[in-house]
Amino acid sequence: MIKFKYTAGLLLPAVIFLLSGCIEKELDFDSIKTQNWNAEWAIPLINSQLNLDDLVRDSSGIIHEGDDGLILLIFENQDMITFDASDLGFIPDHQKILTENFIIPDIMPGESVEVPVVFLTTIETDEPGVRLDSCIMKAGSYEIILRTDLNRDDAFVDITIPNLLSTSTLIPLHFVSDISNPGGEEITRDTLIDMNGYTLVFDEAIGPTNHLVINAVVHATGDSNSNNSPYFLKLENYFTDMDYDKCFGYFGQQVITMKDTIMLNMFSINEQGNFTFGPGSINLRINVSNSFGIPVMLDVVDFTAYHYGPTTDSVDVYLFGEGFPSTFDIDYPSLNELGQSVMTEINTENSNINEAVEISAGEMNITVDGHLNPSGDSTINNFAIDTSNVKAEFAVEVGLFGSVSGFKVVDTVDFSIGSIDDIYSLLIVLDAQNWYPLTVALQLDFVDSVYQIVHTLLPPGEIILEAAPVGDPPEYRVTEPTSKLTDIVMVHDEILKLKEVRKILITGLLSTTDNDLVKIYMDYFIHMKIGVKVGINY
Amino acid sequence: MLKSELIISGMAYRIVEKKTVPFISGFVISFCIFFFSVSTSNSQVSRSVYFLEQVPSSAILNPAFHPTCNFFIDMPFLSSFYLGFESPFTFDELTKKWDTGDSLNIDREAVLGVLDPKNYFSFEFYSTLFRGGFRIKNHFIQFNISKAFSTKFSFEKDLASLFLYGNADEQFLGKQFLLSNTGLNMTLYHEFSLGYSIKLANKISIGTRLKYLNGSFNVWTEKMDFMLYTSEDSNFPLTASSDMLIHTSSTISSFNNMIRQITGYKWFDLSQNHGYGFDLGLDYEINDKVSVMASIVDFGWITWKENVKNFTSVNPDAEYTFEGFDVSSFISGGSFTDTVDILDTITDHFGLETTHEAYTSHLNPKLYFGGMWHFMRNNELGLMIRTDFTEEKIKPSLTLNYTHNFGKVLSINTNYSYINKNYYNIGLGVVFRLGPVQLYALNDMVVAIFEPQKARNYNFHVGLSFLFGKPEKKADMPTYSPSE
Repeated sequence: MIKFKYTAGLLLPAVIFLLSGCIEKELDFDSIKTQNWNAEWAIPLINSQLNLDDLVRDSSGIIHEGDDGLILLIFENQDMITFDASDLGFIPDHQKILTENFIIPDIMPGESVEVPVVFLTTIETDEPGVRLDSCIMKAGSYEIILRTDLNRDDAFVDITIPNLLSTSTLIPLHFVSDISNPGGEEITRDTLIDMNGYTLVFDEAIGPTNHLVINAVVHATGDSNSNNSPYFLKLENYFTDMDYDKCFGYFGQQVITMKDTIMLNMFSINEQGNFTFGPGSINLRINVSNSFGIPVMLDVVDFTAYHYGPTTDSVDVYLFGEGFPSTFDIDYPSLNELGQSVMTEINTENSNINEAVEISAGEMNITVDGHLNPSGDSTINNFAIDTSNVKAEFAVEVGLFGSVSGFKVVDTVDFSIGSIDDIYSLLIVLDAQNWYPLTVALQLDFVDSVYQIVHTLLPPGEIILEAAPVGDPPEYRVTEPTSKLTDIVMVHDEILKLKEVRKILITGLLSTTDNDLVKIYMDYFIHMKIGVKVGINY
Repeated sequence: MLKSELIISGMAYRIVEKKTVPFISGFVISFCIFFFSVSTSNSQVSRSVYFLEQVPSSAILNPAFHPTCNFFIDMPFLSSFYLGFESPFTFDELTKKWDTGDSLNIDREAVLGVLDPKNYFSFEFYSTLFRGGFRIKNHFIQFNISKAFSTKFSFEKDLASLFLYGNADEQFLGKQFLLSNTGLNMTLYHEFSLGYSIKLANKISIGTRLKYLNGSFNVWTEKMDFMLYTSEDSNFPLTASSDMLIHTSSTISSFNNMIRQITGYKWFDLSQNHGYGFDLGLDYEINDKVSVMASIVDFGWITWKENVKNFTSVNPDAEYTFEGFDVSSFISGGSFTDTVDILDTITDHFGLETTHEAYTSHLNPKLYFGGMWHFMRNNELGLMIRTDFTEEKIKPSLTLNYTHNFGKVLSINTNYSYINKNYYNIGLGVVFRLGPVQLYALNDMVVAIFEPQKARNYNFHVGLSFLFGKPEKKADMPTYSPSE
């Protein structure tokens, strides 16, 4: 009996706790595979008032409000057609080698003699026909290498350049080189002049046009060396990296070519359909500023609008009407207006810019030749400063006033989605209140990596926004908004297909009611509310 | 009511409107509030031990119990250990077989069918580190050092409904969804107790146990009010509000990382989180065969001071309506930008402010009423009604017990309990004694071992004691009566 009690007493706890191993088997959580129900969650996704700026891609800086509240799209050239002071370099890198002989008279030892030697050289310019009157330099180096065979124990050269004045003191450049040379071998002396702080002055009182005068005076003291006259004095002049602060003169008849592009991104996604603009709704604005003291004529040698779509279309733009040259003179500042810009506004009311926009031009390429001193009158005094430039601003201003018919825009956006196996149903509710007088039909095609359509979310022609009715001209204002509720349902199989999707092709069709004229005002908007009900199987 | 409750229970440090409360009413209210207020600890041992007075651990449930020895000692770290788990549903209630195949699915209708409006999962253990006691005539003195851990996640049926059906279901769409009893409570503390009991006139035993509690860590969801309204409008706008107050304290660091709290905790690490408690018990022998007893245990509190963090709603009860993202705020020129300001707004609105103020949590008091009938030699029947006072509700349970003693060496008991709305609780226990060595293994839900899929509760309680001496027979024992 006692044995039984011991055995039972030891075994019972052991049995109880060893049976705990059964728990894992009985509570087989791994066998809970799927559920026979779905929890349905309702989530507000979007609640937005969207205006044109929100809806249109790359619209930054394009959308403006006109005086009457009308939306004005302004497309400007990207980099502003321009040429500046760097295009007028004037003095290129060059060198001038000048040699003159001189005779030292016989003198007694200890006696001194001064022998003047004059050099005359031309300052080269980039373009022919340039007359430099003066240039205040801000950079550059002028190196003078002096060589001579004078054989005096005690001699030096005193050099003065009357064309080269200190900008601050107006004292001509002057320096002395020691050419004491007892042996009589050829010697070299090097002098480097930093042109910053000097002014080049070309004056008939000093010398001919664009000519530099170098006055050298050889000082020699008599000694026992033989007089080997004539001696030579050679000046090698090197002009490098010359840059000016201000320059005056006549800069010749240069032609400078400039290119630029106006991008009209809002229209580049249009594939088909057309729109007609109301009278006076499109304007080409050309404003040119000029701070060179130079008469300039701009010749727009190329102004072409392109539409790249299934077919490429283009229109040549004539500024002043077909058959009229697209050239115009621009004003320039007088000497009293040194440092200021003078604006020239070009009237292009006879241009055919509306034809260019109506092809849904995506870009407009512009090439302009700038002709300096077009009259060729060399007596005109020009000037330029280092900040001078000519800037031409081409702007296409499109007032949203017109009608649209079947205006089709196509866009593609990348798409990828994570794990959606647990999503069994999806209901998307679009609730749109539209203040725009435009009907919008939307189609969303979900495509795989080879653009095979996997699923079409909205059938072709599905209208999600009804055009709001407009009032009488000339305002054509929307009188009341329209509302449209659209339910988009996706079942489990359709949702699973989204895993293959890599892109969404968005096709939108815009139309005005009955092709009537409408105006799009800045205060129009779409109040878009989107909610989803998603069925999830945990 | 809530404001008064907070003042009287002293559990939170808020500026509230003071009201004059008559003394008696105040006492009654205080008493009730103490019982019904939010608490964080639920330490206990098995129900079976209640009927085994020869096991010293039975005094945990009734300090009036006298062990059947003159001196006992529990081996340090080898003495009493209790582990328990409770769930609001069984595995079978949670799952259902598909019509074909062996795999299972969660049967949401069945799950919701068994849930109460308020429910909880709990896990707890009670481990005696050292325990001993001795008799001096009709007095018995016990001392005890234990470690108690309790964690409980409380939730409401509506929360389960929301999770299982979603807010688009007709029971939520266009209706207000409210939560007020969901939260996590978790406590670990050390208990140092000194128990005393006395037998009066060989009939009545009364006892008490005084406790010093030392808190190790605590998470207490004092308040978790949440409201959600899903509108039936076209884009289903959501309106929500929250009012939360959560306290945490820990001896090792701020309560930022739950895993670190568990892994970094030292087994015996005393803190500045002091608490006190007491138990009271009564055992009355009506005659040689019948006795009745009553006790209240775990009446106590802990004031938490170390590394305290209190998380409070920045905008309590302030409603916020989310009607969808304003696309125009994060698209420009047809392109999306990276920042979505509204997410920051929502985060800010429902954000929690952190403070560091001490707070007081309470134990879960338990009330026991019981009786024993020695109907035959070596055979006893017992009945015990236990009432748990938790933050969610009062939870009564009932246990019927039969014990058979195989001489002095072996006792086996089996019992049946109605616990947690579950009728499927059959307990089994064994007490084995060889000389001074007493070994016991008890379980209130043995079915959980054999059919765990049918059990909502699972526990076991084991222990090893060394008992010495034998109390004098009743007739020989000195007695005391107030009239003497």
